[in-house]
Amino acid sequence: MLMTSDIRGGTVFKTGNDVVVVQRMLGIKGGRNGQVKRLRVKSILTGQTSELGLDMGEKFEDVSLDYHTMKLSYVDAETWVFMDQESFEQYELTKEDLGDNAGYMTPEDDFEVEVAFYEGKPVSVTLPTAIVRTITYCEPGIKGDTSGKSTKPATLDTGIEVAVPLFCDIGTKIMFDTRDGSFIERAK
Amino acid sequence: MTIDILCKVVDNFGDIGVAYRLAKALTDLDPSLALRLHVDDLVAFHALCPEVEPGREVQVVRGWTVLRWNADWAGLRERPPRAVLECFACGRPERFEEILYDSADPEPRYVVNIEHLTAESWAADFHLLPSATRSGLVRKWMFMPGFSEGTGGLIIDRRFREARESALALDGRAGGRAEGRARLADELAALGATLGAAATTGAGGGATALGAAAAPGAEGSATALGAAAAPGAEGGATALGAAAAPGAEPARAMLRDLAGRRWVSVFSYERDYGRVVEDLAAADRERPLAALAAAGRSQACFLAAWEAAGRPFPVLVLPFLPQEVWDEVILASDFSIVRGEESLARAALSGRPFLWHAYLQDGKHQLVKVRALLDRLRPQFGAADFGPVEEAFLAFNDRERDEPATAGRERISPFLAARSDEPFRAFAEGLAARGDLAAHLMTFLGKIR
Repeated sequence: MLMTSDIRGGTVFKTGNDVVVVQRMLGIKGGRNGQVKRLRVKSILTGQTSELGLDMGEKFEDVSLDYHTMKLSYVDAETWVFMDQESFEQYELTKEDLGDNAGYMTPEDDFEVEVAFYEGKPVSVTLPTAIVRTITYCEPGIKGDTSGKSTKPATLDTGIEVAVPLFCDIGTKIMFDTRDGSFIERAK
Repeated sequence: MTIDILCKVVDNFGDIGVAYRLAKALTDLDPSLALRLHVDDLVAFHALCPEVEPGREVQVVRGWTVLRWNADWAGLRERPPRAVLECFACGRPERFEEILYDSADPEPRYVVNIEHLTAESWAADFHLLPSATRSGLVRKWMFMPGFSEGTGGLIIDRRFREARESALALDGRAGGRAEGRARLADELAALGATLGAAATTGAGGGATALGAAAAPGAEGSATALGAAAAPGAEGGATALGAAAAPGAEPARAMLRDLAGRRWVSVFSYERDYGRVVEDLAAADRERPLAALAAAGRSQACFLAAWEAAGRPFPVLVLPFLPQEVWDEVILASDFSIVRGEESLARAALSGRPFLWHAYLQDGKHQLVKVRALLDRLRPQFGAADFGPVEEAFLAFNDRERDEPATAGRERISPFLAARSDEPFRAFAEGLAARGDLAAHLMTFLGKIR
């Protein structure tokens, strides 16, 4: 069974009579007893998107998926094209399908991803848990604040915005967690 | 309609406090509702509602069926759950879960997860959000208590509403507030409240003669419930209550005399109360006051600071009180220091000045919640008046999880100043005007079923 703590961007799970893929984590809020999550999901069966909540009290059936190792070949407007590293076949996923993951990768990246297939159709992508990207814009860094507890917005080389500690500057390479977009550490 | 309310007591009494009040409010709205309360800690429930017997698997209390968590009770199979209120995503007991997710039962089931109270703006984003479950027959939603439009509001059960209205009406009469406090003083005396006089705090801050509820580890246990200090106990604590000793009537009169003073109730997590006691002593010199030290985690700390300051004002040491009596204490107080969510809701609705001690979280995250509450309070104040209030809230709550509970720079004199009631009263009126969470919940259940 899948626990709610296992569910994040790209997770495919069965809810009710539907099979959905998590496109975006819209909010994770913590309280004393655990987190509540707000997700944008897309139904694999109907194609419809919706917002769903998740609290810590639920379990879900695993969904049988096939995984293939691929690399991002190129991006054509709203379509991300991946190449299977064994068969060299290409598969497409839309920017909407990728959700937050679309903002974490470029065709120039060297890392491999896992593309999940449901009944022969690509439905989601799992990136390495931690990747390194470069900050292309943020307010000047504040020296001395290495706690990481206060943050500021920063734009990455992929174009997305993430929260980074105050000491970060333009050009800083950072490692962050692709599961929730959180900063891990300054990359060496 | 049958409604199952599920509650797991994680720590302290906030969880069961909410579940209990919700049950009362729902019954107020519709006495024909069949409520079934599933609770994992009946000792804690008994503390708030003395009619609950901690040792029983299944019992009827106030017309509700109260079940120990995962009780093996045939009634669940005979009338399977259809409308379920889960408190704070507590999950379901194993037997209950099996029945809830029984695929052979074709009837739909509706689960509402009532989340923790927060003043943060995201509460409105999550309120009434459909929530995922693994079965198409079990539909679930989130329900967010809150302080703003777009949330479910606060629980206002009938007894609290009437007590509140009565307290606010007394404010309009000269001597009205003192009159209300005199009546309450009698009730507190009967429950075992004592005048603080003893100083035997000892190692670990355990007050001995000063109300058994102050004993370390006693919180929540049956022995802490209203056990008054023995007559002639060390330090001269005056004992009242059912086992009243000779001399009890003069002692009761002394408690009643406190009604003429301003009341400051103290109910928080552990912290150093040195600065607060200093401010209270200064305020007492201008206009007499008495502190009411609630049973629990702050009682020993507060008494220790009071003792160290030379006992500058009277202190009423409270035993653990039933929920309804604790409501009256907050409503009777001129200023309340409160912790947790349930007491925060009462203080916010009381129309009196209050200071909230938030649950300590990693990375000082409690300050995020405190700031959110301050943002809700701010519109009621002029800028000059709000600054000191804001400073006190933030200083009172500014601590890392592993830091000792030291005093900060909080000054509580702004809460005791003349006309300090007005902005808090306006805040309370706004909250009350949004209506009762239980009523909103019933309206929602009516729509989805």
